[in-house]
Amino acid sequence: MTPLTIGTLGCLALLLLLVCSLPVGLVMGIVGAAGYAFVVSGKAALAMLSANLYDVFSNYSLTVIPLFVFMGQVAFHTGISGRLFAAANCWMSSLRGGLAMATVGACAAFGAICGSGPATAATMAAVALPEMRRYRYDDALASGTVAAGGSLGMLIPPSVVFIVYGILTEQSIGKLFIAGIVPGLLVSILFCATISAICRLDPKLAPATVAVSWRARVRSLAGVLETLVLFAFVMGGMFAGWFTPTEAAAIGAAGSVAIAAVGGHCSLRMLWTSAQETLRTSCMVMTIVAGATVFGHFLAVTGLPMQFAATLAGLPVPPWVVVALIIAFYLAAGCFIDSLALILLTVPIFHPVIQGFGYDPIWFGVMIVLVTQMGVITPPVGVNVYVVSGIERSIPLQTVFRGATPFLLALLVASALLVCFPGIATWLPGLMR
Amino acid sequence: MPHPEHKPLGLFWRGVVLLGRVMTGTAALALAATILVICVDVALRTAGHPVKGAYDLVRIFGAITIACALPLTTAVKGHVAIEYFFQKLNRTGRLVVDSLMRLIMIGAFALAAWECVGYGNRFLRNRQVTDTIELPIFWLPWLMAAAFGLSAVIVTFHLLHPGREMIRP
Repeated sequence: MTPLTIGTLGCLALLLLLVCSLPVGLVMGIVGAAGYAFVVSGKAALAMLSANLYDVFSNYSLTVIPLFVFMGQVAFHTGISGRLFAAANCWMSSLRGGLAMATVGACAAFGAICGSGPATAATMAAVALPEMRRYRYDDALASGTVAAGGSLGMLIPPSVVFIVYGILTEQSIGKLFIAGIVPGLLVSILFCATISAICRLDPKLAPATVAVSWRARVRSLAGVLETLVLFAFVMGGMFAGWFTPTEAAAIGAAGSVAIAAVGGHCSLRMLWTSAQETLRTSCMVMTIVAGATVFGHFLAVTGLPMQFAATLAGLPVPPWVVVALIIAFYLAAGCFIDSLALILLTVPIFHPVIQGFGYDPIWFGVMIVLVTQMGVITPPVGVNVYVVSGIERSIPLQTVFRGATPFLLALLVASALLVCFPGIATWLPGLMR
Repeated sequence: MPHPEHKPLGLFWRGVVLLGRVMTGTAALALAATILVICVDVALRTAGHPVKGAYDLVRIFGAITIACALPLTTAVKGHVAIEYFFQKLNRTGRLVVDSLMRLIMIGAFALAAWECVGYGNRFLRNRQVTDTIELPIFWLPWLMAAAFGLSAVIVTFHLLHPGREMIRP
């Protein structure tokens, strides 16, 4: 059997074990180690396994993951999310669909201190959804807004997906973070435009809420100040080259605890709960990264990614068609596979292709995060939809999916804009030191 | 008579839970230590006196954080899996596939534990130390081995007690 055949069989075994519900990280580790043993030797495979596990667990750059997750968790447990929503609501309540727009705004702001899409959706489902239902917003619109808005946490820095992509492709995590800012804002605006359009078509979906005075609006900004300071310091420090992403994450984590302490929200119980959630999420991510590293080594010895890249490069079509096919693949696969797992599985295969065509890897990183963002709100495995429905059990799953569907159009428009104007993603990182 | 799901755990399993909690506490302390070391390093660096070995310490604390979080993550079934197709199976199918997958998980965790012990032994033999402050690190793979070993035991609990929670998420 040739290494290429073993590589192909390995990918099939991977798919089989994945659909049998074995944890993604373990599947990649098991298939990777077994395949490596077939191609090289059993002894080499076991040596590679232990070395990779140790290297991933003790990787300095990956330490950024628990630190940023902890920052988001502390922010959640100290009520920052509630204050963000209240402030956004003050500014948008006069508009038709204003509460839903405020939810998008609060999601974008919370995404700026929390690196996870589902975590943002869960937070806002607890904070914004009851408020929208109190004002008799349509259940589909309200829940769909929270599910879609939560996905902004994946794109707006700090983003766990960007961290993993950066490490996998040896790109600057700082540049990836900065690259996500403008597309994140663009998607937020498109989401608000979608809400506005829906409400114009059917005003009954979002009854008018009470307008807030300018004085109250200005006062509400106090609730945004802490997030703004934290985000500006963490991202600004990275942008200016004062510190590395890992250092920025640690300072952000310490900053969120300090803000909690100043606001009188800091307690041992809050810190313990935040730490437990952080450990669980970080370990889940790191297990997938470790598995993907082992699987990546297996793929490398089979030569499958290189062969695949050569085949795609040799297709008698322009490079943009190949890129469009890759994006379409992410769009389809994102409906079934967790976004992080999908990126870890496929980036080692597609990254050489993109590099071969001369596309900017930073742009590609933003692009695939944007595309996999659609996967978290599309059936059958829309993680954010499950999260929202899980928190607000009285809203059926299909209602949330229905409510999230219009936002897919906004994400498609954003993807098209990013393809036509790559500068949306590459302009800000280009200004970095 | 209490429902099987609410029956108190036996002595052995209570010991496993306690060990898991001790590891979770250790992971939380390591996370706090990571934040502290980096913040102190950044603060002192601006004054021209960075912490010597901060990089080494962050790597060590990072490894402790993730390794010691593994039993908790496994106990609360926190690993990401694609359950869509699995949920389509009938009850018997789910039971068979689930048991088979748990056996594979136990094997994988046990193998990882065994290999990490060997990796630590090699570090010990070669007197492997960190780059800057030359701290011995043979114990780190051993700690990882303990975490993988404990995770294998936790998956065994899930296999023997289907539907029962060891630790509430």
